[in-house]
This record gives sequence, structure tokens and C-alpha cells, in this order.
Amino acid sequence: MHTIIGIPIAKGIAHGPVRIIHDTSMEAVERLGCNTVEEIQIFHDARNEAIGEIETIRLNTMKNIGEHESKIFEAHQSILEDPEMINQVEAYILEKACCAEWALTVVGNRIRAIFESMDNAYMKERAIDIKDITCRVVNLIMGHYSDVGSINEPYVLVGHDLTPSQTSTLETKYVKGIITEVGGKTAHSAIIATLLKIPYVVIEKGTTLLKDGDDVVFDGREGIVVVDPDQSCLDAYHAKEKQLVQEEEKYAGLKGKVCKTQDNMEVELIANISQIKDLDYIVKSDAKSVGLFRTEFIFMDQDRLPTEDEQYEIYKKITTAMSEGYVTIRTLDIGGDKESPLFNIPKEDNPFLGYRGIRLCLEEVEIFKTQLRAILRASAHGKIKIMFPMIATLTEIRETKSILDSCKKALDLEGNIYDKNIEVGIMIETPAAVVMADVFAKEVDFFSIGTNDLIQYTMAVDRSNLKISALYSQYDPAVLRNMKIIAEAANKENISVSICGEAAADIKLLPYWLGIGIHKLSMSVALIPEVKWTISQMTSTQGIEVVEALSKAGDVREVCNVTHHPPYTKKKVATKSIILGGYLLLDVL
Amino acid sequence: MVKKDFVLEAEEGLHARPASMLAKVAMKFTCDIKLMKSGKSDKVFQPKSILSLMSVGAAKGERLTFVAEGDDEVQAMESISKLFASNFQG
Repeated sequence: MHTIIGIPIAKGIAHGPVRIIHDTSMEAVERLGCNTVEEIQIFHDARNEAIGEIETIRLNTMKNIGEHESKIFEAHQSILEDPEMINQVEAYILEKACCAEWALTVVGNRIRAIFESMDNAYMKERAIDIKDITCRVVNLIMGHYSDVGSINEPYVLVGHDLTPSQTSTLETKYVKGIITEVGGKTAHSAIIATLLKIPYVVIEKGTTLLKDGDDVVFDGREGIVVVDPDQSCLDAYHAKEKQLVQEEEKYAGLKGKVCKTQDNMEVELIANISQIKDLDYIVKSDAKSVGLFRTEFIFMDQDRLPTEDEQYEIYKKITTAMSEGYVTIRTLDIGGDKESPLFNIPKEDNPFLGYRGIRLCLEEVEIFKTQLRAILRASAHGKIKIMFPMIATLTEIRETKSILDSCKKALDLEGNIYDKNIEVGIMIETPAAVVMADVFAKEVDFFSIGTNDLIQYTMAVDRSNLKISALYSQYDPAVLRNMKIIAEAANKENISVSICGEAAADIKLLPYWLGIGIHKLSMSVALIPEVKWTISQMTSTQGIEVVEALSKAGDVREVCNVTHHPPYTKKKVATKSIILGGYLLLDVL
Repeated sequence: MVKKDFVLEAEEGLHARPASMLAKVAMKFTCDIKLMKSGKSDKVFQPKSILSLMSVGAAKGERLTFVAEGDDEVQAMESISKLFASNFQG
């Protein structure tokens, strides 16, 4: 029995045998002296099997995402049926008398090299498609599970990362837990795991530290994986599981009810959404509205710019689905770490301090106008609010609003219907916007605080730089004071203020958010039940006490002394270092 | 033998999607089909192979010459013409 420490992602107790799912890192080795007839047959069998697998993915994509997006899988299938590729693999097997997987790897690399050498950026990217396809077939030949849908007994899935096609085929009946080498709480796979209630941890070298068949047990809240647990250890985990089930029941009791504190202060819990395919989960959740609809996915998974009509259909779909509430659509926030081949963003020394968000939109006015027109037209079908990202100056707000006005005028002339009083708000994520919050509050209808970027810019820390990432913390008093300034500015002008970053759902900070006057929290819907229950156990006075106590805190440690053991609770939190360590590690992600 | 020139209007050039559509159409016919960049007959590409098509690296506005030879050469060229006429939207 030994333990491996990882990063907690999705809660729950997992127990079962490890099944390692190999992905694109799978490598073939050269085996010579093979029976060429057999190897060619093996190649064709695997090729046909792969075409079948891709067909399933293609149909799922068409159903859940769209016909246009599914076309790429047709191209994948064509490549597998390509006479040139088939001839080359067969010829290589015959010439060298080598194994099928090696011949395919060699031919795949050859083809990739052609694409990689092209001038066209789009074609260079297609080299990745070739890699995907050859790896799928190589995996099939080598007998590894490339798709998780094919395993029919309980197991703990271990892999480098989960691809969208894998996440969409997860069977909760069999997948008892997930361990990946990369990922974070906001990754699509994490959101799906949380919603499907599959415990999930990240272990950096999971696929080498664990092997097929290892008996493992872990608690997704702690991130500690026990390998070959003994009976007493298993008993302890089963007891925990019971406790978790009770917690779930507690949360379930609040389903459908208004979120409020014990003294009846209402808190609006709304949804973040970054993929239209997650819409079903939002509709089924307790969130009545969407506080952050990220539109980047519309621009990132494509090889061309989306048209106005295509965007309109997406915005209309989500607005119609959320008929009881409203949908806050954030305009395109590309740049920084979010790259897109569609935009000509030159390599920058400091992409986070560079050409991104509203800065890019104000340059690419035509693309921006197309999006605004699509949003405005969709507002005829339900309540929409428009939100602009990365605002740093008043000029940006005014320019943006004037572009919006020109779009409205054009729609008027064309006789299009839209919500003439559509609300316009901004993300507060730069220190400049914090300092100017009192001025900006007079110009817009609402503020939404993007904590992930606000923390990064407040602390001047690139969170992907591991050397300094410890400085990146929502518990830093500088961050908390900034939040307070924003909330006060908004409340003074009587405009709405919400949080839409990860910190919105931080259980430890909930009293502080209420205390500084933020009553609207936007988060991944999977986190809503726990947040709602926590709020239902608080009183608004406790929030004020925490704000008072935190006003004296000088550093992260002093803040945590208060937030992790708030002044109104007597009992100490039992799982201190791990949970605390977990949070700190999570902040790093 | 039939020979015809086309101008590629697809916005992003002959990338994966249009190439796969073209390869699919070409595969339906038994005749031999060749593709060259207009005026450059030194390099011949295979329209029945998506990989060969993608490796043309043809951008929007590029002139492409198709040559079909065999029993169903006329029908093949007609189908290719249709694809270009619809600008690969079908």
C-alpha cells in the first residue's frame, strides 16, 4: 500500500482497477521479419475499425454540435481510405517485412512532414489531424483502448488527457474514477466529470506511476490516491463515501429552491457556459440565467470566421433555452493564452499584456460588428445582456458603445427587431478598471468580475510560470481589497455586480462576497448545489464580520486564518493541510 | 481525354473539407484523373487522394487544371465542375 499525491478536481470516492487509456503519445516500435500478408491484413482491419469509431464520433458531433463541425471527421475518414496512404503503408510493409504499426507510423510521419513544411498556417495545423488518425489506428493495432466506450466493467480511467470524444462516451456505470496527467477545474472534462459525479484527480505522471490492473482508491476532494489499499483503508474510504452521499442528499433537498441565507438575503446563482454542447446541463440545473457565455468556442474550433447567421442561431438557441432568465453574452475574448489561427496575432513577448479582448475587437471592427449584430438580432428572442472583456479605459467603453449604436442603427434601417434597451456591461479584470470603477459605473449597466485575470494582473503574476505561481491567490488581501472597491463602486451607482471567475464558487470566500455586497455569483453549474447549501447555512451578519476581520489581514496566511476558520465558527476544519494545500495547488492551475 | 481549368473560390483554399469533398467525388469514377496547378505540368496530383489534394497547397484564386481519361471521363469532369460551381458548399 502506498500513496500518490495529486490535485483534487471533482469530488467523490473512487475505487477500482486501473485501466490506462493511451492517447497520442502511444509509440510503435520497429519489428522486422514479419509475415507481410498478415501485417497488411492487420493494417486493414485496424483501419476499418478506426473508420467505424470515427463514424460514431462524427454522428455524435453532428447531433450535439453541428453539421459543419462534423465535416472534419469525414475528412479523417477520407484520409483512412486514401489510396495514396494505403499504397505507401502496404509498400513499406512489403519492402521491409516490418509490422503494420511501424509502417503506419513511418508513412504518417512522412505525410505530416509534407504538411508541416507548407507555408499555409492552416495546412501546417492539419499535421495534427494526420497524427490523430495514425495514432488511433496504431492504438487499435497494439490493442490499447483508444476509446473509453468499449470497456464494459468497472474501472478507474487513467490517461494523459481526455479528448472531447472520450468525454462524450464516458459510461458512469463503468467509470468509477478518472485520473489524468493534465487538466484543471475549468477544463471541459472536469465539468463533465463533476456533473456526472465521477471522482477526478490530476496526477502529473499518472500513466507511469500507475499500471493496468492496480487497485486504487481515492477521494476526489483530497487528490490523494492510495494504491493497493488494505481493508482498514478501504473501510475508511467507504465511511467517507457514506458521508458524501448524505451531503448530496442535503444538497438535493435545496434543488429548485431560492438561494438565500438564514436571514433571507437572496443570492442569485447563475451559470458560466463555454460550449453550446453544455447547454443541456445548464437547463437542467438550478441556474435560471447565464452570467457568462464565452463565445470563443465559436471562433476557435473552426477554419474560417463564423457568419452572422451562424452566430445568431447559437445565441438564439441559448436565449430561447433560458427563457425564464437572461443570458450574458461576452463578446470575443481572444488573444492572451487563447490563440486562434483565424486572427493575425503576431508572436508577442507578453501575450497577457498584449493584443487581446476588446483591444483586438476594436481593431477588427468588421468581425466585432458581425458578432454584435448577431447578438442584437438574437435579443428579439429573449433577454440578453452584452458584456465586453478586458476593458482598461473609458475610451474603450465609449468606442465600443458607439460601434454598438451603429449596429443598432443599421438594424433599424433594415427593419430588424431587437431589444432596444439591451443592457451593456463590462468585465472588471484589469487593475485600471478597478481604480476607475467609480467612473466606469456611470457608463455601463453592470459589472462582472473576472477573478482569474484580475488576480493575475493585480499580483503581476503569470500563473503558468511555476516559479512564481504561489503568488497567484484569491486569498491575497490585495485581490480581496480590489474586489471590495469594485463592489462598492457598483453599489453606489446602483448597477448590478457579479463574479464570474473561479473564485465565485470558493466556499471559503462566500461570506466575504456577501459581506462586500455581491449577491450574484456565476459559476460552473456543477458547483451550484454545494454553494447554495453553504449559503443557506450562513447569515448576512457573518458576511459583515468576515469583511471586518479581513480588513486587517496583511497577507495570504492571515487571510486564510480568517477564511478557513471564520470568526463565527467554533469547530476547526478537520482536513486542514491537505485541503489547504489542495486549494493552493488548484490556484496554480 | 477531357481537360478543364477551374479557379478555386473556396475562402481558405483547398483545405481538409473541400479536399475531402473533391476526393469523394473523384473516387466515384473509374477514369484516371490528374490535377495540376495551371501552367505547371511538372507536378501532378491525384484528385482521388485527399492527402495528395491537400498537399497541392492551393490558395483561393489559384487556377487548377484537371485532366480525366477513361470511360466515364465526361461524367467525372461534370461532377467536378458542379463542385467548383457550388463553391464546395454542397
